[in-house]
Formats: sequence, C-alpha cells, structure tokens
Amino acid sequence: MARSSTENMITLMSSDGEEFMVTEKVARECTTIRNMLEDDCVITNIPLPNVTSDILSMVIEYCMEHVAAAEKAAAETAEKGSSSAPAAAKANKDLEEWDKAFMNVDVYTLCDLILAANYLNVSGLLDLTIQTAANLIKGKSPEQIRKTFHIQNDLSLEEEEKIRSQTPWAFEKSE
Amino acid sequence: MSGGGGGEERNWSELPSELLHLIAKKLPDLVDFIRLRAVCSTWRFSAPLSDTPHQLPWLLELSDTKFSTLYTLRERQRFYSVSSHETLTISLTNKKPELHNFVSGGVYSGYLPFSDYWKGTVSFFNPLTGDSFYLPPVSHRRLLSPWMVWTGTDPIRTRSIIVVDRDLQIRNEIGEWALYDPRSNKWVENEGYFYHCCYWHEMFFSTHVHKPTQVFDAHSRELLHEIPPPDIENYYKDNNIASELRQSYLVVSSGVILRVVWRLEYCRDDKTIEESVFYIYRLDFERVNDSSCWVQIDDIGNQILFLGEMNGFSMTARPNCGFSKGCIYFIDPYTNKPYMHDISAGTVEMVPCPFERCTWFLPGL
Repeated sequence: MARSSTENMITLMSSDGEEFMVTEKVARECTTIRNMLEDDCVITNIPLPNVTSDILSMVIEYCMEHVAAAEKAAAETAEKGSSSAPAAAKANKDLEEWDKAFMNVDVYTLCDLILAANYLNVSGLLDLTIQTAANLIKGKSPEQIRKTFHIQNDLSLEEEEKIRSQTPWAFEKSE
Repeated sequence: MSGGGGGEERNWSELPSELLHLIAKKLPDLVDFIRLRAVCSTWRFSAPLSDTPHQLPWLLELSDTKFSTLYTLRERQRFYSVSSHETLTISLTNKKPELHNFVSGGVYSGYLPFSDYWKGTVSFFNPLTGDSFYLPPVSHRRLLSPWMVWTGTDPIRTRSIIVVDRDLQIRNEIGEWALYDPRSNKWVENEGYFYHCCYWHEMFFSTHVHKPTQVFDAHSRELLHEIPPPDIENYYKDNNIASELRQSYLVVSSGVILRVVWRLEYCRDDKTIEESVFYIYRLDFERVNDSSCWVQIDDIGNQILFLGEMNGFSMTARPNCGFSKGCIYFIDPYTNKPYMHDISAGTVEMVPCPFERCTWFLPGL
C-alpha cells in the first residue's frame, strides 16, 4: 500500500453522531481501523456504532499520546544514531506515569474503555485497562469487589456456602 | 449492550466472558482468583478453575523441629503471600493423616513431596485441595531411603520426579539416584553427580558445585554430554577456597538453562549474611558435539529467580505482582529466612515475612 508523506486525516464518528478528525497515524493505533484502511485505502469516514463520543475521545487521547511518544523516541534515535539508554528509560517512565494518570477514572468509564479497546483492538489500551481492573480486585473480599464494581450478588445462599466450604482459608479475611 | 448511548451505565457482571477471563488471568495471587470467582455467577463462569493464572510462589512456614531436610506440616499450616502481604491459614486436620516428613525441595505446582524414609515411599499432597497420591516404593536395594525429592513444575508430564539417597547428598561424589517413570509406574536407577537438576527438551541436566553438568536423555537415561563447570568454580577450587561457593543451581529461565553460582559469607559472630554474590551463566548448548559452554550474563531481563534449599525456578515478572524483575529471591540456608538480591544494583535485603523459618511453595488447585 502506498503511503503519502503528507498526513491523511480520517474522520471517526461515534455512536451518538459526533465526528473526530484524527491523523491516519493515530487512527492506525486501532487495529480494527488499520485493517479497514488496508482493505480500502481511500476510506476517510469511519462510523463506530459501538463507541460513545466521551469514550472515543479518551481512546483518541490515548492513541495520540502513544504515537507522540513513539515519534519522539524515533526522532532521538535518528538524531544520535542510537537512543541513549537513560533517556529511553526516562521516556518509558514518563509514558507509564501518563498511563497511570489516564486510568484515574470511575469503574463505569473503565468498563466502557475495556469494551472500546477490545472492539477497536488497541492492544496497549486493552492491556492497561485490564490491568487496572485486576489491580482493583487484588486484596479485596468478594463483598468488597461487588461494592467496588456495583455488582449484584446473584449466588444463592447454598451456592455461596458451597464455594466458601471448598476453600475456607480464602474467605477468612473480615469483610 | 451494543450501540449504547451516552449516560447508560455499563454493568460489570455483563462484561463479555473473554474480557473478564483476561482480567482473571492478570491476578498474581490464587487467593484473589478464588475471591473473584465468588462475586457472581457470570464471573464464576468466566474464570474457570481449569485455567487459573500462572502463580507466583508463597512462603510456607516451616516447623521448628528440623531433622535434616525433613519437616512436619502443622495442623493449621500457615502460608504467606508476598504479592498480597497476606497470611493464609489452612486447616489440614481432616486432610492428611500424617503430616510428617515433608521434604523441602520440590516446585511441583500445588503439591508438596513427602518421603517415608523407613518404608522407602514417596507421596505428594496438595494442602489447598487435600488431594494426595502415592508412588511405589523405591525398590533398589542401595537406594532404600529417599532422602531428598526433586521435582519440576509439571513432573508427571516431564517425567521428572527424582529421589536421592542421603549419602549422595552429603558426599558430593558420583552416586545413585532414582527417577520415577510414570508410564511403567516404576523407579529407574541412575548414576551421576546430583544436587541441582533441571529438565529441558527431553533431557535431564544434573550437577553439583565444582562438578561438571551431566546431560541425560530423559527416556533412555543415556549420558549424552558432560559440560565442564564455569571458570569461576575452578578458580575457587584451585585456590582452595572452594567452601566459599555454596551452591550451583540449574534453572530453566525464558527457554534457556542458567547456572547460578552462589557465594555466601556469614559474619562470624551472629551468623547474619555478610556477603552474598551471584555469578549467573547461560548455557550455550550444542546437541551434536561436546562444545557446550557457560557464558556469563549480568541481566535476566523480565525474569525473577527463586532459589530454595535444593532447586531454583524462574518466573516472569508482571505488573503489581509483589516481586521485582531482575532479582534473585533466595532462602538463607542457615536461618531459613527469605532475601532479595537485586542483580543490577548488587544489593541484598530481607523480604518481609511473618514466619521464623520458611520455604517456597507454588500454590495450585
């Protein structure tokens, strides 16, 4: 596929009809969109019926930040011949910090981001959101997990008793 | 839920099963996995027991009375999860009649090896599930007493349960050991150096500090190669300071074999660790000729090494897992307390643990 040197702009449309203009490079961070572009390279307008505007704007923000970081690292490597290890480590650390701040969201937004990252196939964002959800689960009792994620307990008393009796040591922590 | 407009709240219990499965697989501790499975029916369904996340080790509290390498489990056995900083107490009262003669040495996921020195039998017991099974007696007349039991993480599949006689362990010479063959349900005797061992690509590698590594075909048990020890071990031996090198572990890490040579010095007064130095070598293995050699490395990447009384194992570090990548976690053989050695910084520090004495245990259901 021929790639133009000037940046192509792509329009992404959210489920609630809002349009987002992004560079092709940013759009390509989403594997789902990359595949569409590779099938049909003149496409410029992509409707995304599964993603709302507030979530789509967050996904785009994530992709832009990561594209910018990758471009900066590539430019430094080209300039110096090779990237210096401490500089690369610092850039990685900065991006990690950015990711961490980006994940400061409520659990509903987190759930939407997981679904969007999965649908658009943004592997870095999917990994980040899944890890964030796992971190929220870690160290909590089942009841605390339910409270955190606003989940109704649909297990019967008998089922719960059975689950607990199989591994009582896992439930001895006070709730 | 597709096409949901703005403002509609997502329900976590309706998250697609494959995505919840991804979350469950990220949990570094079995106890978190079990608690996730008790949240609601869809979460329980999405995180099947048949596919538990890869487990990092816990610390198992050892009994005070020690009869060489044999220990007794407690009625209420305690474990410590470094990852979640939690002490777990598991009642074994109705699970196993004899809790004696637990042998510290295996990394068989979920199972602890037990040795009956007098009957010559070896059994395995999972303290979390209460499952146990016995292996037939080691019948060879010169190897009546299984003193040490060595296992890999998946010993039945990789045919790697080995028992060692007490004398061999002490003598540091060529001696006899027995390998369990699950197909014939029999023990097969073998001869060689034995203290540290690993299984790799249908081959057994066994060695002792200052000794060559012997490579056996796992099926025919034919001796294929002898690989000389790294120069550092010869140096210590030639200069008559061999006693300073404590161990030379064989560890499979990221698909390669590492030889981890450990120098450990204690303070004369209080027996605390004065100096702990590790030399790490990667095996450049040549299958066809005898030119295999050890190449020193100073970085283990994203791996974590765990060294126990007799064997070492390697795990991949994950975010928030409680262990640091590029570090060696070891149990001090004198005090049975856990320490961490940071390879790049060269530092040693104690790992916080509520137990007086402990060893590694890989939990599994």
